[in-house]
Amino acid sequence: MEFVPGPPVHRVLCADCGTPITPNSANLCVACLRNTIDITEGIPKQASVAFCRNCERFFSPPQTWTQARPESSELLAICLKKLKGLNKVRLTDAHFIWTEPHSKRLRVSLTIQKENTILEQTFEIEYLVQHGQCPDCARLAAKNTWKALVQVRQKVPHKRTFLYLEQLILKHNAQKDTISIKEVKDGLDFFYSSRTHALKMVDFLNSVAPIRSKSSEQLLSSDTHSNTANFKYTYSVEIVPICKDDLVCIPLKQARSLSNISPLTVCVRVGNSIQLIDPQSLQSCEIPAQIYWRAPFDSLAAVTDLVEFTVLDVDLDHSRQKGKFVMADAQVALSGAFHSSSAENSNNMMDFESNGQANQIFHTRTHLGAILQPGDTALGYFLTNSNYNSDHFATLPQSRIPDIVLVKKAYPNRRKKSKARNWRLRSIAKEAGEEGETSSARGAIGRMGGRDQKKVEEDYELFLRELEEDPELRSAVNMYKVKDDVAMVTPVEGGTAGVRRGKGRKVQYAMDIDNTVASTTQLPEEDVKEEEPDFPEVKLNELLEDFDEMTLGQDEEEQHQ
Amino acid sequence: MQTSQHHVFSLPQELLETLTPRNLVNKEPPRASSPEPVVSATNSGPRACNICQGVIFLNVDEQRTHFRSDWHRYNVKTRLAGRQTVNEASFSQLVEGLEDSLSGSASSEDDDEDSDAVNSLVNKAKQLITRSPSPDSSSKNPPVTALTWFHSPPSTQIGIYRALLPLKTDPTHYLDELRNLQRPVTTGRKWAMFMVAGGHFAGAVVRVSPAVEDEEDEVQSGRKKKQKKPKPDAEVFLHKTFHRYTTRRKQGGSQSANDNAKGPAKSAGALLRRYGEQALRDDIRGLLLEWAEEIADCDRIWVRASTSNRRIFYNYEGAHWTKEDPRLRGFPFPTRRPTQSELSRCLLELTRPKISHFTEQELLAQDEAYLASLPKARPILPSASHPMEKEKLPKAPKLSKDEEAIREKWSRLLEMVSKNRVEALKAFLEREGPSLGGPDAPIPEWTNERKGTILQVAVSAGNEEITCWLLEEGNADPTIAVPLSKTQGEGEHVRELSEDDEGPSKVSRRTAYDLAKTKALRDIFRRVAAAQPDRWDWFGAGHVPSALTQEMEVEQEEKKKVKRKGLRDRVKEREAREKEKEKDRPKTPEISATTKVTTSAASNSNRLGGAAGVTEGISGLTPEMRAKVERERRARAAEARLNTLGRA
Amino acid sequence: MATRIQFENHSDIGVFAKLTNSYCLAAIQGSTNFYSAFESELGDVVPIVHTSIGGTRIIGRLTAGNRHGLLVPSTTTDQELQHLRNSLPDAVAIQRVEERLSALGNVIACNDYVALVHPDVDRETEEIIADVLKVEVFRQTIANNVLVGSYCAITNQGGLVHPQTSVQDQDELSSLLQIPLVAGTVNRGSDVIGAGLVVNDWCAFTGLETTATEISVIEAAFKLQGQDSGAVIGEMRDSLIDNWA
Repeated sequence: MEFVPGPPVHRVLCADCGTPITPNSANLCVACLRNTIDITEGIPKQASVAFCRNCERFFSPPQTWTQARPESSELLAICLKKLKGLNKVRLTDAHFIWTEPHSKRLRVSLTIQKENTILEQTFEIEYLVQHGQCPDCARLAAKNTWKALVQVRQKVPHKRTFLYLEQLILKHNAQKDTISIKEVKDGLDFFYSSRTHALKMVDFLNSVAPIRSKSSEQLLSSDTHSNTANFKYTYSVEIVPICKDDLVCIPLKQARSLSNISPLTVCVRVGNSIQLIDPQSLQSCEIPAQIYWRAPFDSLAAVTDLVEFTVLDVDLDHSRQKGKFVMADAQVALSGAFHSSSAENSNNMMDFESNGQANQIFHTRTHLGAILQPGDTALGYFLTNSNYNSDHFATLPQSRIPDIVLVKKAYPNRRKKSKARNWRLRSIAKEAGEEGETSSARGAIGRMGGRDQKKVEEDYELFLRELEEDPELRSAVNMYKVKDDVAMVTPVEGGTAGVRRGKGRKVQYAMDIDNTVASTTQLPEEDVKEEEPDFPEVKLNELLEDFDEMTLGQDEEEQHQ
Repeated sequence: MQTSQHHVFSLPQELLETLTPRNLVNKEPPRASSPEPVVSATNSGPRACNICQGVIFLNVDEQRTHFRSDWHRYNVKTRLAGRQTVNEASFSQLVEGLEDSLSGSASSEDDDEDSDAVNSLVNKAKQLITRSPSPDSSSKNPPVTALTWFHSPPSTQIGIYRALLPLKTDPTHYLDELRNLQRPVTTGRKWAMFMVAGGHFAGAVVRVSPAVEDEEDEVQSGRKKKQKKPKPDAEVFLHKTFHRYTTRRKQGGSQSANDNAKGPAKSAGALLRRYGEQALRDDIRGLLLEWAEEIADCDRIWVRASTSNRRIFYNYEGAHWTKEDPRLRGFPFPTRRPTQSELSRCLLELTRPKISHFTEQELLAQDEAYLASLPKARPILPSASHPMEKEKLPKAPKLSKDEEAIREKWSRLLEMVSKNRVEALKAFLEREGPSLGGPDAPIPEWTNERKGTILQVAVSAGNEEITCWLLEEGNADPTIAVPLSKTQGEGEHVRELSEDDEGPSKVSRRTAYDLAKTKALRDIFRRVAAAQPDRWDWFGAGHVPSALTQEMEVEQEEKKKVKRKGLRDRVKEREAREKEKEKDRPKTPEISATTKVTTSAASNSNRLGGAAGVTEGISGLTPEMRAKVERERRARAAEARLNTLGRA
Repeated sequence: MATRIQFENHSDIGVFAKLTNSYCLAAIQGSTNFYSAFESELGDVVPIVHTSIGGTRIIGRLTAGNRHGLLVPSTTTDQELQHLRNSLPDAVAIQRVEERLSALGNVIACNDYVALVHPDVDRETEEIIADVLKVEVFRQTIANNVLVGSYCAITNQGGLVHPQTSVQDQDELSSLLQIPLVAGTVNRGSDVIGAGLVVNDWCAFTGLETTATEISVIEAAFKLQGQDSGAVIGEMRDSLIDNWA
């Protein structure tokens, strides 16, 4: 065999050790390169991670706080994210080295490569676990460190406006910066950590409700040297004390200015202005908040004063209609005027005056011609029977005052069924850490139990009914589907509404309220009656799919307790 | 190449009559084409030049002279520029070409010597390379260019934009379509042109060929439509330009693009631009609505718009045409900022045919050069050494029609042969044989096939059936020599040499028989030689050692049987020895399968190396490996033999 | 013998000095350390000239020369030219070259017989090089680099080329130049040979960072070892021990 030399291979000597190598950019052999070059250069050997002791979460820059168990891959990711120079090298391995939890140290072993994987190096990095508080916890912990306060007030005896407002706030996510919410008499207080958040809230309220707001500030401290000062700001927001379906008697002078409308009107809508309609003439007017507050007036009668009537006959006047309102002449009688008299008599009811009126048939003009049918039940104000302590009302000529002002249609038979609602509402989450469970878990409103638990429940039910009956109102709030399995469960105990509520708010049942006007006309033979066919059901497609997870979780917790 | 004075819708009739479509690229003569790259490492020694493709020198002086030569310097420079170096012959061609092209203008530089030739060559090459990719440099395999060329003897070519013709026109119908374009239209042809870019918009509706009523007399006089002098051949009906502020100053890009990329910007400028984009769109759509009637009877709609802007023009609610509208065209050349004047420039560009003057010989040369460059995998070379005239012609595509047909036939034929599809081949050869030149026709060069005839192809592919058929019925000539390697042989086929110089040639020349890798194949030759001994000179020029008759085969079979019986007990050793001597090969199916595998491997290596026949597929292995393979083979043979014995 | 020196903390001494068989140029410097190093090695053999070229100190990169002559770029002032004329032996021809590639040291690598030049230098320059330096001129590249002066150093005895130069190229160049060539590095792996090394037929100066291995390569390539190879080996061993023990 003859010797065949291989092809000449191009080699140079390594500059340091003299080993023949194929030339590379440094012209050093790998061993010498490794000896001389530290590829971990530029990577800090110590770093720190922030840890919130309260919620046991680690800070993962730039924004989030994540739950990470010790020696978990999430924690490793957070740790690696902390290192600056890692993008210049190739990371091949990283793992934790065990440390005592109370040492407040994490040790990570890294293996990196550089220069086309010629060089590999393993080294350790020590992380100092710095305990701190995440912003969420800080917000909770510093309960009283509010900088700005929005006091929302409405001087009416019920809470329905606030219940509605709560839904509006939820829908627009306006509560997002709120530190805490507190219920006070006639309203709510919203606390904020900065003034701008409060102003934003005021603006929001201004856009959804007829309000006036006043701001005031309280000096906490001032620095004369730097000419800075520290204030607490308070914004007092007052909502017009007129609600939907209220009877309003406008001062005569003002009525004249409002295109000479008849002073006795019904409020049909409250947006950021009040819309009033004269049921006698269908004339309507809109009073913006600022006009209202120039000369405020009160409502004459509110929803609680409504009386149930039975419609005997309706005579439509199609020539006069406005929007959804159609003028009609209606003959009504008090509900129960005809069938209950014998029963009542046998009971020796002593209310002779009302007895005398019970069988009377009243003629009235109403704007509800479009929806009223003979035989329907309607709610209205019984003016003849009422005594109002109002100067404006007193100045009205007696001849012009109708006996009855019908306001809305009622569905008493349907209500009797006490059906489970297939929808429910969210509420502003409870203030975390609030000790003790309030009975209703209703969120902001009525959370403190109000001053009268029953009344709050009534208001809530009335609000829910209002939502059901008014699609326009519904469109402004988010409604959620009730999960089927929950909806199937029927309450075992027929206890009071309060008890049912205490069980959890998953299903909002239509409940019967003993003290409401509706129940005054409770009748023994109600069961034989048919439901009103035109009962405004909430359609399924109006409902939103998923209920917020967090509140659900809380509900479950409550159920466990 | 210049722009002609003719209008594309009114070409002179006499010119039109003579036009034939060019089906090859209009290209310069093959001065530029350099030989295939040669790997230089093989023959380089100390007295060699690595750059100039491994030239070897006898002494230092020769080497030094070479290193001072222009050729070497040119190669040094081209290699630095990352291009392919050239050999001496093509370098001298290059220099000659340079002198030709310089002869007119470069008289003042005569005192400069060749050195400047090198520089100018290098510069020239650079220039060509750095030029923006114009339509001509995109030579795809079936080259499709924006321009379609027509040839008119003796030496005129006319190029028109393909976009003028209806969509999806078959290349063969280009001429008909061109003739169609000349046909007068009663109301005149109308085009709509729109350009939008950077917030500028320009649009026009133009009549590009005059209406017939205008020129009744000419229509009567003949089909030819010549313009009256004062009458412009294009008349602008409607035109409109406007501008909105949409583009981000000094940063470029539209606001919407930026918004999409980085999220909506909040600056006042961004608002303005967003509004501007909206307004521009509305303006344009309003304009389209206004012009809807005019646009409706346009027969081309030219739109220049970026992909996002294109949505302004169609696919919106109430759009007047869709994306699939057959009238819709993009401008087949770069356009500048949309202005009125740019529109008219584009109109001229579209309607004036391009003219070049090449003689037919030149065209032929170009065709050949193009053909030669075709089979190469990546045509870097042609572009690297592009010809140097400034006004280079865009290559119009096209092979001549029958050329194309023949090519297609050849490639089908070769495929059939190599894939062993006998029936198809029989039918095909019966049908097409005469047109291709019979079974012995030399395979054309462009196919990249190293074998000379289809018989050789079949043999080297190891396809017994085809070989058999070709020899018996196809009358294929087995005495044709296999062409030497193409680099030396220039693809020319050495036909049968005369008897007297056969001695020396025997060493070098190989025939189809020599290509046969298996005994089965060789037996086919021998069998046919026995059957038809007078048809060819089998045993002389055909290299067939001896004939194999039926009786011989039977006899052999007998012999084998006798032998087997006698040696049953010592089968193994015996077989090993037999195998070595290759006296008789086992005929069991398993073994023939293995041999087939090895032959195909061998033929592959043969094809790749292009060297003389290696009979076994193990030639490239180390001795140990070879021994291993050999042992394996013997073991399998013995096994097979034992099986047959057991059965017998 | 190869000596390690540095110029104001730079190891790229080839930038600041030019050494041929008949003269040495050194850049002007505040201290005389650099100059003294040359002085001690060459003092009594060849003249050492302190100079600037065109007002700069990078004289090694701007000039090219050998025993027969010196080429300076067009930026050289008349005064500098005069100074060089006065200081250099009469046998050395000095020529100012009008060349676009004015860093002559980078584009020309030469010994007393042959020169490699950048492929793009003018034809006139090429002729001047041939005339003044009395060499044969070849336009070449070193490891595909056009700056032949930067990436190689050659003397009449041998040459050191860029470490990436292929074996074929080395063979070819070596047969062209008729001297043995070695691919190597200076200054601990730097491939800019011309900047790290000034060398003539009997002595070499390298940057301070140059390792013992590199020095041994350099001495072998330029045949600078003394006649007594045993002594050289001992010396090399010493330096290896110095470096590694």
